[in-house]
Amino acid sequence: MTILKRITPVFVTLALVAMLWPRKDAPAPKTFDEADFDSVVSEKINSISAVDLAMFIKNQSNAYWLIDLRDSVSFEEYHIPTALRSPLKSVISLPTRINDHIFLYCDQEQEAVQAYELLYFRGYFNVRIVSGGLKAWRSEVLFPSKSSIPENELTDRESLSKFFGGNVLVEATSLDQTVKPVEIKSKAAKSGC
Amino acid sequence: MAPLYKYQLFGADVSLLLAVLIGLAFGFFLEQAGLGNSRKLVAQFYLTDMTVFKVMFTAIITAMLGLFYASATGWVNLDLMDFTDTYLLPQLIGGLILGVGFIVGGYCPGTCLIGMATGSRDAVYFLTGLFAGVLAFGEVYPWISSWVNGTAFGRLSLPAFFGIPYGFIVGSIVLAAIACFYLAEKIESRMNA
Repeated sequence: MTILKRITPVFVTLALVAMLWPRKDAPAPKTFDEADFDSVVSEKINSISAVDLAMFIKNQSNAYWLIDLRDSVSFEEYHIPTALRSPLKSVISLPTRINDHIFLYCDQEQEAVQAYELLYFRGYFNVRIVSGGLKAWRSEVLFPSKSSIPENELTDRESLSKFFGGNVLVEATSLDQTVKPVEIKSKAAKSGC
Repeated sequence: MAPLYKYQLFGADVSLLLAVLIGLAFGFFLEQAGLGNSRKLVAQFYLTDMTVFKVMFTAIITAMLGLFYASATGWVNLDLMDFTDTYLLPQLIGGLILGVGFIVGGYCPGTCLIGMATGSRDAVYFLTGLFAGVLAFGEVYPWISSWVNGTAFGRLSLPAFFGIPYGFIVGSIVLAAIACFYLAEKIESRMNA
């Protein structure tokens, strides 16, 4: 008997079973599970410091989504370079995939935490909020005070601030100074390769 | 749950190591099937030896069935798998050029590497031509990019395009392949008679 004759019954059986396999319908709506909810909400929220985020954006070592949850006026005024604006409710409709690196930020942290929960419940496992939000971005990346930076990190932090259009302050007094987001080409997450 | 890399069961380093091992295994088995020999490869187009067709189609339907059952039983998340986007016209024309190059040169891009690994000098010439083609495409891309992207359909699959269940498509292709195998054997024996 030739190999073809031997493999035919195996392939035909597998093909027929595949053809008759029940079609996958849309997943049934999830019922509220208290224990599940409690465990997610009480878990520690993954976060990234503003400085680490700045390094991540600067190095562009991985594709990512950086999502700004503030209103459009605040976004136009200033946003972290490469950020995409999305209202809280629309976060779940973005064309993201569950393994994408997603960073969330708002003015401080509250809405970022809410968005984090929305995504985390849907199985996203690479989501992080920016610790301290935009406020921390300004005080730690754009205009950090010289006294708060360890001596051995000063050069790196100075170049990081400059990269994003800020500068290290001798005294932490002028955090309110305005700055325009610098143009950085984002290695945005995409589907496929 | 797979893809293992996407679910971060290992990092980029292990992923690259696995890619090398899978590549070596792929090359080894292609060579064992005789696909490192340009005479055997070209015989496919004269219908005297249908090995290329049988080997490649067997690999395709085996992987296809494996992926189908793995996803149907929840082992693999197909949404996270990367596959090439569809650029209809460029891919059609590129396929025809590849076919002509296959007959003239006696190799396809993958098999020329196998031919080279086993010491065939013609495979080295073929590989040089391959890189020249890649370079030429890269150089003219700015001028033809609008045409290339004119028929881009993104991530497109047969089940999504036709609205037919995934299992039915898989089963149909497997049955068609089996029928083609029998036809190929008939053609082969007639041409060699």
